[in-house]
Amino acid sequence: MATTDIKLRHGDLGLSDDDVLGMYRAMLMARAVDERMWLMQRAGKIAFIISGQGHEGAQVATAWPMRKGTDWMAPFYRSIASAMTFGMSAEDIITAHLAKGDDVSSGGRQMPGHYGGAPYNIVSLSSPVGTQVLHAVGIAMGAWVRGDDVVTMTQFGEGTSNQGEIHEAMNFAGVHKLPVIFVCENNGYAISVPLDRQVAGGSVASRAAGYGMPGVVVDGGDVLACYAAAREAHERARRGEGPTLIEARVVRLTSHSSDDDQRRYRDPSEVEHLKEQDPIPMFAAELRAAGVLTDEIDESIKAEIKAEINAANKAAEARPDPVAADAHERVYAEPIPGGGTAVALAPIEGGSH
Amino acid sequence: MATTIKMPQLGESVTEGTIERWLVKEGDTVEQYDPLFEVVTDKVNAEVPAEIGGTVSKILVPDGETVAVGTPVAEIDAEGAGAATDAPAEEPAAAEAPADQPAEAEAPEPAQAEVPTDAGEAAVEQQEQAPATAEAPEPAPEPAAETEAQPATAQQPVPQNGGVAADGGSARMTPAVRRLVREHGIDVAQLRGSGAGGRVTRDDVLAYIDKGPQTASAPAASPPPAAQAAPSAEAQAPAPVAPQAQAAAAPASAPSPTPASVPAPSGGDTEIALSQMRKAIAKKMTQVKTTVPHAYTVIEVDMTNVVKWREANNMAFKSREGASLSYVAVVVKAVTETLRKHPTLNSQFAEDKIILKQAMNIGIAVAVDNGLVVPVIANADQLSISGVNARIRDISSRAHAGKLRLDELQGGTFTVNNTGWFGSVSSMPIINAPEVAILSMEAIVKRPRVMEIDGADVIAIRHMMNMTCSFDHRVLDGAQVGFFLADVRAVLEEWDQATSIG
Amino acid sequence: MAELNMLEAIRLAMDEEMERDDRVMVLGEDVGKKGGVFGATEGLWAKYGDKRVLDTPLTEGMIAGAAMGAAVYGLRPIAEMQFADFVYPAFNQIVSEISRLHYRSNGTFSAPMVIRMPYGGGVHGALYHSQSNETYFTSTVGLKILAPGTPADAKGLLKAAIRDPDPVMFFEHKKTYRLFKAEVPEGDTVVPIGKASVAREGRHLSIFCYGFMRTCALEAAETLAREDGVEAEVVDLRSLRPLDLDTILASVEKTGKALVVHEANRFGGFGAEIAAEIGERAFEHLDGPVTRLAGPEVPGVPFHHTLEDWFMLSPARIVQAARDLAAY
Repeated sequence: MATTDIKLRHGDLGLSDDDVLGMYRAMLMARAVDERMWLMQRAGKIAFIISGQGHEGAQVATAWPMRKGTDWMAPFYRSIASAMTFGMSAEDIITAHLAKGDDVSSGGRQMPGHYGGAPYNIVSLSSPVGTQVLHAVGIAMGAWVRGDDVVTMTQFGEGTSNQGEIHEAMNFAGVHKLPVIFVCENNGYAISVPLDRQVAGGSVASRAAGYGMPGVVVDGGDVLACYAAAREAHERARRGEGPTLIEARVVRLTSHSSDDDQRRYRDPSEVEHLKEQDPIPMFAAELRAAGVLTDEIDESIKAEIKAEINAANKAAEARPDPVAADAHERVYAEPIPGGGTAVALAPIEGGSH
Repeated sequence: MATTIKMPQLGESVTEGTIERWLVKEGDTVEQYDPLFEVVTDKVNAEVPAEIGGTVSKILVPDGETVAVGTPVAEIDAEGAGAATDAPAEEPAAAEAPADQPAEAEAPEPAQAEVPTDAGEAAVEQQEQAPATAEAPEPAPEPAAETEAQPATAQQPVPQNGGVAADGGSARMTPAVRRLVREHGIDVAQLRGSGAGGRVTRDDVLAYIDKGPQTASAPAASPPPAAQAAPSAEAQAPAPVAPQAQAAAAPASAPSPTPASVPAPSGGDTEIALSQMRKAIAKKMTQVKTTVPHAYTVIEVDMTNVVKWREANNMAFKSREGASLSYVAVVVKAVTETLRKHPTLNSQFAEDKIILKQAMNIGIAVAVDNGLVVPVIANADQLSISGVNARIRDISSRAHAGKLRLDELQGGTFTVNNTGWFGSVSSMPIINAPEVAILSMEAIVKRPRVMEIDGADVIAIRHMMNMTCSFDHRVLDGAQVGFFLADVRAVLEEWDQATSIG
Repeated sequence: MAELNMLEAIRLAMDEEMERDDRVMVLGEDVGKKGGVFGATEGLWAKYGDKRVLDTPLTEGMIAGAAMGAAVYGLRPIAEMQFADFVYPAFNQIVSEISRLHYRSNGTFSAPMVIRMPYGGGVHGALYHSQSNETYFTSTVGLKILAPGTPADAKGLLKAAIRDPDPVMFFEHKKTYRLFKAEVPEGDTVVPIGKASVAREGRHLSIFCYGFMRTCALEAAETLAREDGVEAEVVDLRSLRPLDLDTILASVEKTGKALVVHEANRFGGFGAEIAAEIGERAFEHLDGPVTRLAGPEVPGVPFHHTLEDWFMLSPARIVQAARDLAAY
């Protein structure tokens, strides 16, 4: 690609050099957190991790138009980069994986990867996949009912896209033109089940017409394309034109989770060549070609990130563990002794009753 | 300072790992998170990074070996700032299961009594009676009450079962009933059951607490005027079989009469604290005497034939059974035979009806040390004389040893009371409520008796025994009781010398 | 005071709350223009408009899940499930998400929402319009479960439910919708969640019930008093979770005999929980076995009236059970 083309490209989109460097940095940061947590997992410090490596380009780019503090997000377990772009810190992510007592996501109550942050308008997510999509639609409905200028984004994988609730969510959003953006990160595998066994018709976005909304397929490795699609969707929503379904084709560089080994079901040559589709070096190359990224800037960003990660790691590990006696608390917003009967049951540490 | 590197758990439910190969050797320096070794598990294969930087001082597990998760595999001597280690997980304090000791059900322990000495053939031709305390026998005790376990005290645990149901001893007391009995120290024998199958219900107990025992539907109506029969000579007068003026009890007073005020003890006086048994006896006797209209009939029985029979058979009996044949057993047999023809004497009063008891559970009053218990021989009518005799001996000895079971103190339908062993010739026992009659057998005394033989009046020296029957005049009348006694007398006076001692 | 039936009381509660708080909205199938298949929301759409009385597609999962999203956002949604029998597609959202949101987020997220549903039989609705399925939810920690038996309670409790910061499932026995009218206090009277009511005092036995069974139990109690001289205490639970154990236990202490009555099938039913609590906590006061009178072990109310009559609990059946217990 000619240098002029690329420079125009991000400029066309209204993005400054700092903006795209910011995106690059965000991708690197997400990757660094991700990699650090794998190390921590292999070292026995974290019990479980679901990685987002390979998704960072699509995640950062689609989250980029979202307004922190105003908009809402209902992500899924692979959304490290999305959540961090929308406000969660590296320390928040690591703390969640260590299940510390003051973890913003869940106070140590949920497994790793179940992010949430009331201060960030990121909805607490759970394990049954796809439920968050209805929540996003509900938030959008709320905004629509109240006439608020709020856009909600929700992310999910192509496997999850087949859950019945996704269909219900998209249909409802389409009927009332709700201000919501559906981002399907299609990495070709739902744990071990490949795309051709997962999605009849081969494309998630092609369903959009049936839901009364535009469906867009983007190359998840093309950061700017992803950004463009998301920004358009965001503006559509704000104009009251309704939802959009974005299908970002990404690669899953790692196994599904730390409990999985994809070498056991994925073609070795495929795994071999995955690295070539890694969005980070691809974007770096783009930025270099556009003259935005230099070695010096790159090294400086990476050094900063390394320091930040180390600090975040250390701070997260220093946080207190949850307290058993606390496990009885905050079942209800209006506390009921004993969790629901009128007779108070004294909580017993470590025991059941 | 050495940090131990352990085999990490690389996946949920992974329990062991095999060290494929070490990527460092002893002496190598590593930075934090540098790879140390490759691991193979059944879920994942991975490189394990160093959790701290430093010098690999020891490799503990060689290539190719499989170890459990958590096994030390190497040691690293840290240098500079140590890596943050995980804060030790807080151990929740072990939950203490509340020690919840349900109240044990135990047989109540009547007061220990001295091992009875045989009264011997002292005084009088005596029924061999088990209980005998050498010291201070009760002055004319009027045995009537059973001692129940008195629950409200620390010593006596609550009996978990039992209850005097009107059906003769079915042990169905609900938790509410047991609790109330316990809390109010109620003698269960005092309770009448109005529930299904004669069960004592909670309301029965509550009513009892409110109103006292056995509220008579009408107070003992115009008691026939009579002198209180004194337990002495007057009753020696031979009583005709025909119904006679009954000595009636004093009319039922208020269920809880206020006791006369007692002056405080003064110099030389001794205070004796009341034992549980004494308290129970006091309470029960008061209650029965004040609520049940007692009437009395006395008859004389010529026991000569029984005595002869006993003398003829006692040796054989003794050598076979290891103990003498007691007159009490004989009388009990006579009574059970006769009760069949007079079922009203084997009944209970239940406010608006009389319940005729099917079973014949004969209570035997036993004097124990400073007290009295009335263990019951269940289904005495089904036992032979030797059977009854054995039972009497058994319960008597266990009564003294304090080893009676709760069910042996309940369910009685009629009581036989041997007052004769300490010489009484007439007594007026207190009915063992909720029974309606009690029979005293007095001393067998040789006395001259006018007998008609071959149409002529002769004076013969005969073995005479009085029997007094106290009865509940709400249920029984003199005539009934008289007939009953006459039949008992007939059995005894016409005792067949060939009666088996089986 | 006005005399209203259950349906009118429920509608009035929603109307008053929607007027009082503009965050309150209703969503469900046919709730808008039609006013609900039972008429529970009649008139509300005309008054509050499309966005606050929202006709949804035929998607129970979405109704519950979107309601949760809206509640997270800050609204106070009242989601209607057309029949309790059709709540199951929403089960995932209700149990996995709505009940757990507050706990899993360590108290930082809440879902202040109500799910209303008609339940119960006796209306020739057969297997799929008559279910009493409260037990799926009463055992779910994180939900509050209500089942009023009078119009006054329906109005007061629905108000409380709408204002409650936690998710509340509101069970309305459909047979009681138009069955009778009763006095309903005017104005803003809120009945607190978690308190049972003693509908009738008595000393011989306690009948614990809720919903339509309150009406049946009261009728039975009249018969018992008149014909047997048995004074039955009728305790209307009103709130299943939280359960008012204090009132229950006080009643058992007073009478010594407990009869639990519910239309749902017996095995594993809510009565089992009450019976267990009574057995554990009021053991020393029991003067008879804790007894349950409940629906038969068949998967629902059969259609033909002979079969339905066989299924349904009635005052006569309650009388019989109470008699047996009283005579123990």
